[in-house]
Amino acid sequence: MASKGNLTLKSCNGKEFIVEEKVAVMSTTIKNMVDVDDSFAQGVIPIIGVDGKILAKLIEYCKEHAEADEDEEVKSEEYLKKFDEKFVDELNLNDLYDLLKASNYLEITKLLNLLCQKVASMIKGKKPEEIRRIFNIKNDFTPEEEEEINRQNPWAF
Amino acid sequence: MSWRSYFSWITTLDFSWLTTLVKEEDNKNNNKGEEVENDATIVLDFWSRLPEDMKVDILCRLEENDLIGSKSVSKDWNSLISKFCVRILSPPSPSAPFCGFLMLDEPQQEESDFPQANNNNNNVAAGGELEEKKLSLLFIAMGKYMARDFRQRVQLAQRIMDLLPPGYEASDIQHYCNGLFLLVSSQRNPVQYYVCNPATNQCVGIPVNPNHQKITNPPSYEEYHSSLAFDPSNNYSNNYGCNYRIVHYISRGLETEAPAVLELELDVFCLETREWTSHVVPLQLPPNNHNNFLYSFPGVGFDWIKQTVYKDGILYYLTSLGYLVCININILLSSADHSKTEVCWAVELPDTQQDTNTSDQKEDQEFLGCIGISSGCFYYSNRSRSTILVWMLLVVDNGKASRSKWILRQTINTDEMVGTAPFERAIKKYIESCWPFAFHPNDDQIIYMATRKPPLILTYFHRTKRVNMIHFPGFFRTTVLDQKLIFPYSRCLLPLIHL
Repeated sequence: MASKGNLTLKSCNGKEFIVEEKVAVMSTTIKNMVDVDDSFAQGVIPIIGVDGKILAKLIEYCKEHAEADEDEEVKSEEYLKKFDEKFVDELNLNDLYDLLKASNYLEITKLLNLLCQKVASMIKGKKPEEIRRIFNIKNDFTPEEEEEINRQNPWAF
Repeated sequence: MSWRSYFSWITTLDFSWLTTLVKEEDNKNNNKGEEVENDATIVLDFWSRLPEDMKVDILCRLEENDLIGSKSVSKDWNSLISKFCVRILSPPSPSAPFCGFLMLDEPQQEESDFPQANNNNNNVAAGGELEEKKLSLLFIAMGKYMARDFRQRVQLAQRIMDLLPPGYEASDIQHYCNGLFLLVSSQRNPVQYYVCNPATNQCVGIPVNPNHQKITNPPSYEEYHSSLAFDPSNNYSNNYGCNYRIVHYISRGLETEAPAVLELELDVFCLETREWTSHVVPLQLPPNNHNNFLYSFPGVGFDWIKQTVYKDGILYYLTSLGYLVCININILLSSADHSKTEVCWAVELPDTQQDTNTSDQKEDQEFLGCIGISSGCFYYSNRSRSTILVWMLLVVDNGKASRSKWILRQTINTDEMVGTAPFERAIKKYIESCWPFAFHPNDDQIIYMATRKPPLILTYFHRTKRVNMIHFPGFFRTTVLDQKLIFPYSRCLLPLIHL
């Protein structure tokens, strides 16, 4: 059992993580659970659909941010910005997807924002062909349709 | 997903929720007709596995050009961008960035030592007659546009001028509504309307209504009043284009005394039907219980309409007669019975000027109120001696005069608007004479004020109770800022449909 102030989170593949409550409640979903029912604060909280690797990532992120919220001097805004940059830079598409899904699900708004921004930055400044290649999207337009769409939006280029 | 539903799943400790979730997503896809057939062929890759709302969230973070350019990635992208993103990023949505003010600027007559830009200086003041005003269009960037993309944005006024059909001038701009401008030429007979979207570089001619003849030429008064009713956020029909209505309000000779019931003659052009329809709407005027009207009731013309604002299907006319005239366009077009008060009603303006009889300052007698939308609410502001008051209109039950209510939101003391720094002390006496002229479309903590001499625009923050920013539009020559001629501009990313 976790000591007071700590929560135990259990991933879908059975890995358990003991984290400080302030770190866990970065997730609105977990916060609501703990607020409503004390038994969660005592026992193990199953984080369904999130595996150990992703959960470790989530906790790493939440830990840095929870500490920064508490003490601005140790973890300055600049430090946090660098951390965020490094955090998203190291992700491959699969991890990015899993983290997006998990942070959406656990309502970790800050992280969700960061990840969406990361995806947007992958699209930024790219031509349609490049975007299709990055995300493996099939071009389902006929050449005529594609031309028509480009013709409608000359002002954007 | 709400935490409650999550909570109930968790407590059952049952993994069946996973299938429920999958089913939910399937249902979502099924509702979207066209995509169903693709389901079988979808490769389980990054993008297609994301939930729709997350895709929209991501796309809305793109710069305008990237967003529009990405329409040709795939049919799915085209539909997400055209259906959702452009609406989320166009006014009146709070996510639409506020670019700044477009205003029609009248060259000053007395102080001719100002450099006369564009040679628009052939003003002819003719007594009694409507002046042939040569107005020029100015753009004053606000917010983030002051620094970012500045060069591109300041050219906005010129871009609009380039869009106008041959022979049209800045003074032909009649109304602005959520990113679109309504143009009508003072020359053509019958009246020809144009709708123009500067963001998409489009200007579209509207079918002419042969009944819109000018009676006298040149006109001795405003024979009609026109306004645009357009809201991209609540109309998902007609192939992703702008769906607007034009309201043409005809002036007839009226008694000089306000009658108890005023019959308004309106012609409405509806883009869905591409036709003009005629309507006569009775307006029950409120009893004249305070004698501080700044104008007597007009015989003809529309001098008494100071500003027109459209919100949620209702056109609001700010009048100098002490009340707001409201016309619900949706009900007007959908119901045959126009006698109901739900179609057209008047709301008395909150009374600011209890003692205007002390007319030592004639200038203060001008009507200086303004209406506008901020963060989705309707506001009215006016100056009363040394205070500026801001009210919010609460419309209950979509109309019914008796059920609209003004709520006083802010009281601004003009003596306390600036601090005590030397610079602020120096400009204090100019700033004190300011009056409210516009609201920030997305931030109800900001109100814009203007001063006459020197002409300044002030950004006032309610939170700090201070003037936070002062704009010196050097080219700004209008002697009196007329609310009719000032448009808080945000870009509308929806294209116009060619008629």
